[in-house]
Amino acid sequence: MKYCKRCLQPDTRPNTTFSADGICPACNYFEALQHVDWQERFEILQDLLQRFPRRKGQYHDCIIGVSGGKDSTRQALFLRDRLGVNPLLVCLSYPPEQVTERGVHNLSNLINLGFDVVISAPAPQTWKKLKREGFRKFVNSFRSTEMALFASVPQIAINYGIKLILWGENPSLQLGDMKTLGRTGFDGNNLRCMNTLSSGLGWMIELGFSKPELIPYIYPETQEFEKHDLQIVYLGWFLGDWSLVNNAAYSCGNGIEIRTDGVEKTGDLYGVTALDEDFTPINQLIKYYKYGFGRVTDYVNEEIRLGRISRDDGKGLVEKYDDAHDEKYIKDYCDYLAISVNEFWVEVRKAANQSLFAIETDGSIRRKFTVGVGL
Amino acid sequence: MLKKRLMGVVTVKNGWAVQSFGYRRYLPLGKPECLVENLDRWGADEILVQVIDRSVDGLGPDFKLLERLGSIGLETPLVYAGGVRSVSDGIELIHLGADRLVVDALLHDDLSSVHRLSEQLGAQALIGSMPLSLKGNGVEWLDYRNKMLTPLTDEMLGLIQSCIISEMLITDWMHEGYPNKFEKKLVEKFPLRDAPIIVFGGISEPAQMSELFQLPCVAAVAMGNFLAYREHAIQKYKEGLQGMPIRASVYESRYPLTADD
Amino acid sequence: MSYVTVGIVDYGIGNHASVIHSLRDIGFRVRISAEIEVLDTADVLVLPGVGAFPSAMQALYERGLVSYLQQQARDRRPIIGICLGMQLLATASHELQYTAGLDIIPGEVIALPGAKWHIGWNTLESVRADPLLQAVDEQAFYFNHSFCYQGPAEYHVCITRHPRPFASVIRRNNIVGIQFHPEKSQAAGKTLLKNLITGLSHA
Repeated sequence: MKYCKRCLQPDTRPNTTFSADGICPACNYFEALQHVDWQERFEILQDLLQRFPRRKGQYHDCIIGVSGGKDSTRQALFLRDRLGVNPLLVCLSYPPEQVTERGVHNLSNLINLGFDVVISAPAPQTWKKLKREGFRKFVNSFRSTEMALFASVPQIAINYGIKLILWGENPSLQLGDMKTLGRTGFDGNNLRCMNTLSSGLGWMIELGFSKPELIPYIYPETQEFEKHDLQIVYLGWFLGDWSLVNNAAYSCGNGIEIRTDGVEKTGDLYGVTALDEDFTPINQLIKYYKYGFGRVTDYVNEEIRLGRISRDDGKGLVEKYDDAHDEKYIKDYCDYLAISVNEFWVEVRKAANQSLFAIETDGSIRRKFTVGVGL
Repeated sequence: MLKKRLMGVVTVKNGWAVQSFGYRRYLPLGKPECLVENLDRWGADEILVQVIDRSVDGLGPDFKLLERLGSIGLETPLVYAGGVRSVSDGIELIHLGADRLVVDALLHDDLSSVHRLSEQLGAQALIGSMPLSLKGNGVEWLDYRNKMLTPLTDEMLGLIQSCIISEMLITDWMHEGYPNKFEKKLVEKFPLRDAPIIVFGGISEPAQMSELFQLPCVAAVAMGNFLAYREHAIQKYKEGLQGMPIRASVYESRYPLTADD
Repeated sequence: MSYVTVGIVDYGIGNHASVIHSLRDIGFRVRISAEIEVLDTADVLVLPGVGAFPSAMQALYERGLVSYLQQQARDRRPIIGICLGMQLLATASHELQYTAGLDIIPGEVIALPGAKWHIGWNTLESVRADPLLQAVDEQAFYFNHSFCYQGPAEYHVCITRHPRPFASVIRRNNIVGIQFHPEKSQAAGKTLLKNLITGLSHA
């Protein structure tokens, strides 16, 4: 396990390759960003939008997937207020049992800002069962969730006949998931190759669900995309200051509520992610045990690149908080999945990367690697 | 006809824009970029950025600062002073966005470089800085690095007479920062009659500025500290100088300035 | 919505930030390049310039831009030369050594008559009616040069006195030369660029 020489990204991220001089793709991308003519990119976006005129009777120019969180609020406002388009916002809502008050507030905020929002809420029992089985199979209950989140947008685009889908960040450039690289920095039609979506439908069908029951989880095939002329465009490519903290700054200034429970409980350094539900922090914890980096590492990497924190100070934060979690949140999660806390930890220990972590006799998981150095 | 100019000066020390008093005492103002942007927006006729700790510390020009200023995309001519040592320094500074340069230490150290700069960039791009004080019936020239006072050399005066530099920045260094204290005799006692002069140091009152503008050899009046105490300082001063051969004040706005537009 | 694109000819001389900023502020799209493919996409070309005539012409030759600009002029493509850029449009210049220019607006570049240099804000006087340049009559702009254009009166649009008059704006068909720096002339400069470029791009 090696760390990027510049930030604190380890090379354990799936689909990632460091450059010969030991720099991660996200850092290299950030460097390249310093020489970009952002005005020129803005003009490319203006021209692009003109290539997707509304059909007769169509009221919306494009579609954006939203949650009401920091990224989607920023995107929606940018498109409407800076570019003058009328976006249809699509929200794949968590079931009532899972969604937080804060999440509902934020979605309401987006609606109140004057947008048309289509909300879909897949059947909660199916959702819950898929999460439970996902946890059993992958120690990741979000496989099905992510499928639904990603699939909802092109599905609604097809139903409404809207061809242009605007997405947020380009995972290949901003995180380093190279399988999603498209023809240009903003072409998102390879989003289906993202690691998070890689498990496909097979395991869900094996569980005995019928295809109609799984409709919300089916990401339209490439042929569907071609038939309906869908084009996914990454908005992040056009926004020079796209980052966790910057997006949060924009969106907080426009009415969203963020978390106040603190990094010790959530492993979320500034409390600006996972606003609409409380299970993602647990999933980030599991990601930490699987790959050696959690949510705090993501934050710190951005701050290092922006020059707001040194790599050393960043190390301190990662060492202290990358595995932060709260007993109550874990209990709530276990209750939802109908498993015991004990079972939870048994699965997590099994899923932990044994070359990176040692399981102690008392069951605690100790990191073997040195943050910033590796193994 | 060619107008006389009201020049805004931003003095930089330790990376800070500062108020400067008598070449001795300094108080911080803020980021140089902010002051420069203000002067640009207020319609200064030229903006002079003088970085006063470069030659003293043996450093060259502050290229990084100029790069930042150059990339702002100012709509006002920018003059750079501080640490210019050579022709390559000069070329680099023009490339980074300066329209004209001021040389000070170089006038004491290496006049041949000044000649070469003039050949390369053109005399109109060069201003010679001369901090002066009265002595007897004449003036003395300060080397601000070691505080030594010397008479003006023939070589120096020759530089001006043979048009190697286009203008001279005469600074009343003693009275810098002190309101209404600019010593007019420095201009009167200056040995050359026709050379174009920019006056600077202790100029704060419109009446004072009018007097100076009316001297034939004065091409520009420069102000530093006294532009930092209020908004629209340039416009306010210009409005107090009606009748002077300078460009009228202009208020810049993205939006109509009157209600009925 | 259609946008006017201004192509700034980048031949390695000078700093373009002020011009780019002014043009974008007005609402034009700006491309800066020495590549013919990029310059071909512009509606109006801007030829900037600072420094000495001979080295500027040299730089243009090195980038193959001399024949390109001459061809564009023949094709009636709008070109605006600013400061040294205006001088480059002329037949030749006497600066340092006698050097041939682009010869797009016939005339010669000579030392300013009666003055060593011209620095500061000076006014324009229209000597020929030109709707694109009407608004600038009597306005002050920033000059910083020691050579000027001398050529047939039919190409003079504005003169400036220092104190002897010289051509401060020249024009032949769609080619315009401006001796001063509109990008350093604040509001007056922006108005001029806006009217001029908008007018030329619709020609």
